[in-house]
Amino acid sequence: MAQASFPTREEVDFVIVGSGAAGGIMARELSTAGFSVVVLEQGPYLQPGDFRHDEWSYTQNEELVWGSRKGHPQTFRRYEHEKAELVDGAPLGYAHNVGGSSVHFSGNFWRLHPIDFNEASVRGTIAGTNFADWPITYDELEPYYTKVDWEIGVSGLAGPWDPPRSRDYPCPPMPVKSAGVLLERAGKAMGYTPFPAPVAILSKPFNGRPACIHCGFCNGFGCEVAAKSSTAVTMIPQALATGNCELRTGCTVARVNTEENGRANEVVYWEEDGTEQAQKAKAVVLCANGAETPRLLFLSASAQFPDGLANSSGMVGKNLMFNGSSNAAGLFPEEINGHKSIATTRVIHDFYTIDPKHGFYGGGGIDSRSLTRGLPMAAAMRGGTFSGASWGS
Amino acid sequence: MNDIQLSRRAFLRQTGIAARNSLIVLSLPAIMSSSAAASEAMLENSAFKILGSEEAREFAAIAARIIPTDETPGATEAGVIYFIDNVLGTSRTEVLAPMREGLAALQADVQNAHGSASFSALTPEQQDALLVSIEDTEFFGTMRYMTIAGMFSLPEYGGNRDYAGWNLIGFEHRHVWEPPFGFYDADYMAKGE
Repeated sequence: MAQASFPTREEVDFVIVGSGAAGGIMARELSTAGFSVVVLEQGPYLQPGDFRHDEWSYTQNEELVWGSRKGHPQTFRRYEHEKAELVDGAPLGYAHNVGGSSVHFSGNFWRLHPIDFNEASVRGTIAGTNFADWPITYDELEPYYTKVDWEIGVSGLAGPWDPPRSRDYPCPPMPVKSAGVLLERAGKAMGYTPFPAPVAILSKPFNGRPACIHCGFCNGFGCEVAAKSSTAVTMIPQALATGNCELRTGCTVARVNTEENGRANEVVYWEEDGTEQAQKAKAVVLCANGAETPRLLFLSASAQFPDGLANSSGMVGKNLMFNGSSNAAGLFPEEINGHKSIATTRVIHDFYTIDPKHGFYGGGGIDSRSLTRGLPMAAAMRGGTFSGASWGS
Repeated sequence: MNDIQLSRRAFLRQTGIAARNSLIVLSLPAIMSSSAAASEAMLENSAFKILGSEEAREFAAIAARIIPTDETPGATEAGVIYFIDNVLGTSRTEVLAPMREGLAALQADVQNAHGSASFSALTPEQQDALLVSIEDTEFFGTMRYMTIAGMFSLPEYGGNRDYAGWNLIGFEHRHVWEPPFGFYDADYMAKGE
């Protein structure tokens, strides 16, 4: 069925803001359930053939994440008392395209562990913080993890390292890379449990999409064969095929309007050329990532909601946590060839949870990858890191 | 590090792509002659978009010390100056003025040290000594950044002519790879864990 087309003045059931990991799934679930849906996406609907092996553009010029060099400047400050200043590049670096950052992410697809949901109860609260359990448990979420694994296509190996799962991975693990072998061998020698990294990248053909061809332009790039299981190649095509979903690209949302009873009923947005539009809807779903969603809630403040929408708690825009990381680099005598295949193929979760008596809460995974993606420009930029000159003969 | 020989362009050879598999090693004479021909044709036929020919000559001379030409092609043969000219007029317009100021400061150093009017007229040894003295400046950092970017970006941006940069480090422009990808996973396939 052809993609739907709705007039802006007539109310649709849902407007979804954003077409990424969350918005793509909402679009597909709501449209297959028979609701009329309009999806508003800032960026273009890039197809696999649009993605290029262009290190300069993707890694140095924000091809996908936009920012000032693409005419979408961002401001940045470290502390509340500072004035936010315009900066080069894109400090908030999410991909502006249908599929959002599920298009350019590494594909790493670990599930949360049960402890993530009840850590405050298990480990104890922390004075001076609002550290709390989630209102749901891993067991309640598990069927949905499995549903996602099987509907988008995830490669991995079930085992004792994995949180409990009701069904195996749909695809076997990706072939190990040299960096993965080094982590696995070293980790095992030290008594840890390295295991094949679960990734939302196809190790074999699945649901009409081909297996990964290991081209190497993966993390930070878009997949040229649709083997990376982004919502752009999984959920969105299914949503559009229902005939109930209209995808409007190049549309940047400005605010959400509410009616007298306080319910959201309209989304105001700009088309690419700056024309202002507004779409009426019975309900609005904000799927604009952890930073843009609260920003939109604030931008939608009105006389009725002076502190922004959905903010009776005062918690909108608080407690945002990013994917923090630290790294250690080494030089090895033989070829690693990080420029081939996916970002990472082995991971260790032995430090996923750490007893607070060691001085901090939480923990994380350890994976092995080329810091520079193994690509020529980034690798050369780091030349001289280990020893010797950084330029010249 | 013991196994890595610090040889010419050691800073590029440490980057993880093995020099011993480098195309340059396999077919060096052919690449050198085609690069030389290409760079001559390029200099004759190409006009600069942003840079004047004199300042372009100076920037090119600096790039040529960052990735020199020796037994293999360098920034000159790769046409890095055309990349620099291109990006100063497109995605890096904000650094054009600072780069011109940086060049003027360098030329003043040239005048003071050697009584010569231009960096490009100095010997390679004199050039390197001056560049070492400004190694920590933003100007040199940006020159190094743009030289490397021009050496290894797609040729459509002006540099990496005939894939001179990629050939230099043995980077093959391919879309399909199959395991084993590197030494350690080949070893793992052969010997197991």
